[in-house]
Amino acid sequence: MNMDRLHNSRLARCLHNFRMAGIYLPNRLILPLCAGCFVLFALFVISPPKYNNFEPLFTKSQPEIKVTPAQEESSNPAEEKRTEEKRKIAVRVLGMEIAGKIPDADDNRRIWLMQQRVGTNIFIRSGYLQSASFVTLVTENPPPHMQYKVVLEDAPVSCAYIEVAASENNTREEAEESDDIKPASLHNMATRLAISAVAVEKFHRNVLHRRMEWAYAQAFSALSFGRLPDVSLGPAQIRVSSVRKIAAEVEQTSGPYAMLSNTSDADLKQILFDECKSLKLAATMMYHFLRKARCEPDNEDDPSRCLMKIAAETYVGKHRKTSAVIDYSPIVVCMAEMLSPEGMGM
Amino acid sequence: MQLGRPRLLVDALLFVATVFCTLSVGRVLSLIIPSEFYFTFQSLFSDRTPQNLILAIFGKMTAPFASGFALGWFIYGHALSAVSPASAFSGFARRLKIQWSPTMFLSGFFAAFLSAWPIIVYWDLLSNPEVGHLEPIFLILYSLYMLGYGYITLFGFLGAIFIKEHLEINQDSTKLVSMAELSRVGILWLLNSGLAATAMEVITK
Repeated sequence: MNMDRLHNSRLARCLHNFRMAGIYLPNRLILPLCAGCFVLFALFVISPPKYNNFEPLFTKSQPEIKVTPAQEESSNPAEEKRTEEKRKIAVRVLGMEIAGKIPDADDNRRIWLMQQRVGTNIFIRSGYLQSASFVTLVTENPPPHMQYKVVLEDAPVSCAYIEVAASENNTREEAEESDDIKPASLHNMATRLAISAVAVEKFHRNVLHRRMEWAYAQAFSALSFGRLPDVSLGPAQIRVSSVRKIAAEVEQTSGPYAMLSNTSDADLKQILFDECKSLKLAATMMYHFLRKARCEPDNEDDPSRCLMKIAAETYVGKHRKTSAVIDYSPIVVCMAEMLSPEGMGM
Repeated sequence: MQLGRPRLLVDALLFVATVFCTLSVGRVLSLIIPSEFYFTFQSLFSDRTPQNLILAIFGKMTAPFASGFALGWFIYGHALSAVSPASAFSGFARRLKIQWSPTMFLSGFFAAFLSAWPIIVYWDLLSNPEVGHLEPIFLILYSLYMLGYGYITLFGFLGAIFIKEHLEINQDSTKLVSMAELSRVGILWLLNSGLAATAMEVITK
C-alpha cells in the first residue's frame, strides 16, 4: 500500500519525468545533492567578519611602554615611575542600519579597491595606458591606504576630447541644469566616461567578435543599398538609432555636438569603425547624457558620481537597479574616477 | 552497506557527500578565520597580503582533512560493525582499495577546483594586475595544490580507518591501512601543497 503511494506520489512522477528527459540520477544521490546545495547556499548568505585593523588578531600583543615628558622631568628619584601599557584590539567593520536595510559587514574601502582592480585590469588590456601602479600609503593609523594609479596615453585623450562651445564659456545655464556642476567639468567627465566605457567594450570583445561584427555590417550594408543595421557597432558599441535620436533631440551642430552634424549611414559607418572617431562620438553621447541626467534628492552618492552613473547606464541601455559590486555602471564610474585629475594624471 | 565487488571506480554518493562536506566546512572556517590568515593564494586576488603562509596552508587543509576523517570514521563503523568483521574484512579491504580511496582523492581534487573556478574563469578581470601575466604559472601551481587537496582528503580518510583499527581490539594481524601507506599519502600531500604554496609565495612577493 505504502509502496503504491510512493510510486504514485508527485515526487516519483517528477523523478520519472527527469529520467525521461535523459538525465539519470540514482535516487540515493538526489537527496545529498539537494541538501548539499542548500547547506552551501545557506553558508554563503552569511558574510564573514571584517576588521579595520587585523594585526592584533593572531599576533602576540606587545605592550608599548610610554613615559610622559612630565615623568622624565621629574627630578625626584624616589618617586615611582608611571608607565602606560597599550595593547591593540581588532575592531570590526559594520555599517549602520538605514531605513530598515540591515548592512552586511561590508568594508567600503575593500569594495572600492576591488572595483579599482577590475578597472585596472580592463585598462591594462585596452591599450590606452602609458603606465599603471599600485600605491600603498602607510599612515599612523592602520590600515594603510591603497589605490591603483593609471596614466593614460595621449592618443585616447585627444580622440575623446570634445570642444567647448563659445556660448558655454559665458553662461552658467548648464551648471544650473545639472546640480551646479560646471560645463567644463561635464566635458571632462564625458571624456573620462567615454574612454572608460570604450575600454570596457573592447575588453568584452575579442578579434573574432569584432571581425564577425564588421563582416555582418558590411554584408547588411551591401544587401540594403548602404543602410547600416541597427545593432551596437564598432569599438564603442554604439547603435545608429541612438546617434540619430540624440541628433534630433539637440538640433545643434556646434561645440560638443559638432560630430552630429551629419549622421548619414555612410558617415556613421566611417565613424563607428574608427576607434578614434568612436571615442569622440562616445564622449559626445556621454556629454548629452550627463546634461540630461537628474539625481534623485535621496541619492546617497556625491553629485558627480550620481550623474556619471546615470550617464553610463543610459549609454549602455541598462534600466535595472543593482547593488552588485562588479557591474557595468559601478565599474565604468570607478574607472572614470581613476582618470580624474585628483585620482591620477590625465 | 554492501561490500561486494564495486562496479565503478567512483562511489557517487561518497563523492557528493565529501565534496559538499569539504566546501561547507571550508566556508565555516573562512567565516571564523579572517581572510588574511586563511587564504593561501590571497596575493593573487586580493590587495592585502597573506599574514602567515603556514597557518593559511593548515587552515585551508583542515576542511578536506576533517571531511575525509569524518567520512572514514563513519564508513568504518557502519560497514564493519554491522556485520561480522571477519567475513566483511576482505570485501571492505577490496572496496577501500579499488573504490573508496580513489573516490576520496577525486573528491578533494574536485572540491579544490570548485573553490577556485571563479578565479580560473575570471582571471582577466579579478586577478591582481601585478601578477595578471602569471596565469599559466598559476594554473600549473594550482593543479599541484588541487593534488595536495586530494591527498589530504585521502589522508584524513585513511587516518580515521587507521585510528579506528588501532582502537579496536583486533586479533587479526592484517591491517587495512598500514603506517607506510599513511606516511606515503601524507608526504605526497606535503610535497604538493607545500611546493605550490611556496612557489606562489616566492613568485608573487
